[in-house]
Amino acid sequence: MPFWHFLYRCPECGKDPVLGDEDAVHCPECAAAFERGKDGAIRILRSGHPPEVRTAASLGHQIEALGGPIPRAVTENGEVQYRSRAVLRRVLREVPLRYRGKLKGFFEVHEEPEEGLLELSDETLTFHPGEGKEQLRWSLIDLRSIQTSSGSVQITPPELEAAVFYFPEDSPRRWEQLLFYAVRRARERAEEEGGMEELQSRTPSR
Amino acid sequence: MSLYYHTGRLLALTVVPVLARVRVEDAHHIPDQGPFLILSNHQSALDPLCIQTRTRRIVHSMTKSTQFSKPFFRWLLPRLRAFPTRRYKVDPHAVRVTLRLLGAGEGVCIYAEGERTWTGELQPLRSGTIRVALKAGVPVIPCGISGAFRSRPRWSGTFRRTDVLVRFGEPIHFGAHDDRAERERALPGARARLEGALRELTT
Ligand SMILES: [Zn+2]
Repeated sequence: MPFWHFLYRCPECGKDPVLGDEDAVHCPECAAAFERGKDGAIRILRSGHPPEVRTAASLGHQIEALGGPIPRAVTENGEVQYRSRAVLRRVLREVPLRYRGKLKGFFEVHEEPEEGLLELSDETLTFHPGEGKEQLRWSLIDLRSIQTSSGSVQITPPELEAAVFYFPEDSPRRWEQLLFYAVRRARERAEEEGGMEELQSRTPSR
Repeated sequence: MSLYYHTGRLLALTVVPVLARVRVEDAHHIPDQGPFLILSNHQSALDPLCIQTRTRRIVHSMTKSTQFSKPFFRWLLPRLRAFPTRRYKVDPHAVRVTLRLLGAGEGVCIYAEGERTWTGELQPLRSGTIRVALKAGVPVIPCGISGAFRSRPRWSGTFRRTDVLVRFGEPIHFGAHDDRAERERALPGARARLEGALRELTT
């Protein structure tokens, strides 16, 4: 997974997006560069300054401290509006796994990849596939789980066992954080009975 | 039949030192017989190799179901005593398999945070995992892994050889909480105790 999937926003000045490759990220706004240093630490290079070594945790906290979603995902009216090119793999069925005659559990079968556009708004998440195919639209308050898994974002919408999205040009971490933000807001607005409780630690769920 | 498991362990014992210098402390906390549940933090893809190669007993690992999507891994992983859990839902079958293995006197490892850390820090423990520990009523052995994140953080594609420390804590005996309401009451205390233990065991 490339470094910019984690450092999708400049922790120093908040700029989003940043420019990145496998093991380095560059901020086009403040010109800070971040690269994987020794021992999982991150080296920050700024012109005219000696390199600074920071932990991934401290930079992660710094991004969180910027608060809220990335500015380009919010309209002037304060509504969430964001879209990215995405590849969807639907999970329609789960298959039992047996070993030596015993049921060991179930695993999901990913359907063929479908290219399209994933669009997040204040109320809905919509996948627009190629021409001639029907779009998928889910109300945010109906999503039962959201999480990153390797280079993807897995969600659990109604009617599907799961939907797995890969983003050829975007960070799954950025999408996960945006979805959390939008789902929380949608639920607060809907004033759902019982509010939010935990299904999985990073999953806003009813 | 544990031929594949032991062969896999031998192979891993050869491969792991190339990727990391692993040190293990207090593996004696794992009982010589009877069931046990290892609850570990999850820093990198190295973690299962570190745990399974350094414990005398066979350890069954709860593994994300996605890992079973390719036929080769679907063949291999059960032979290495891995069983799937679907992370996008509460998976009752994964819980059932865990309880069945523990009931048969086996050892199981669950990564209590539910996913690898992005930052190297311990993440909140999943309630479902703590509920399993409370229901099972077997000795719970906290396991702290440190340094594996530095070897290959989740956001990096390359391994760098580092020191990895695997520390097993003293067994925690929560007792069996068969009643659901009782389990829910015990949950916050058990969470605090486990998180405390994992923080102490990781550096
Ligand atoms: Zn910047």
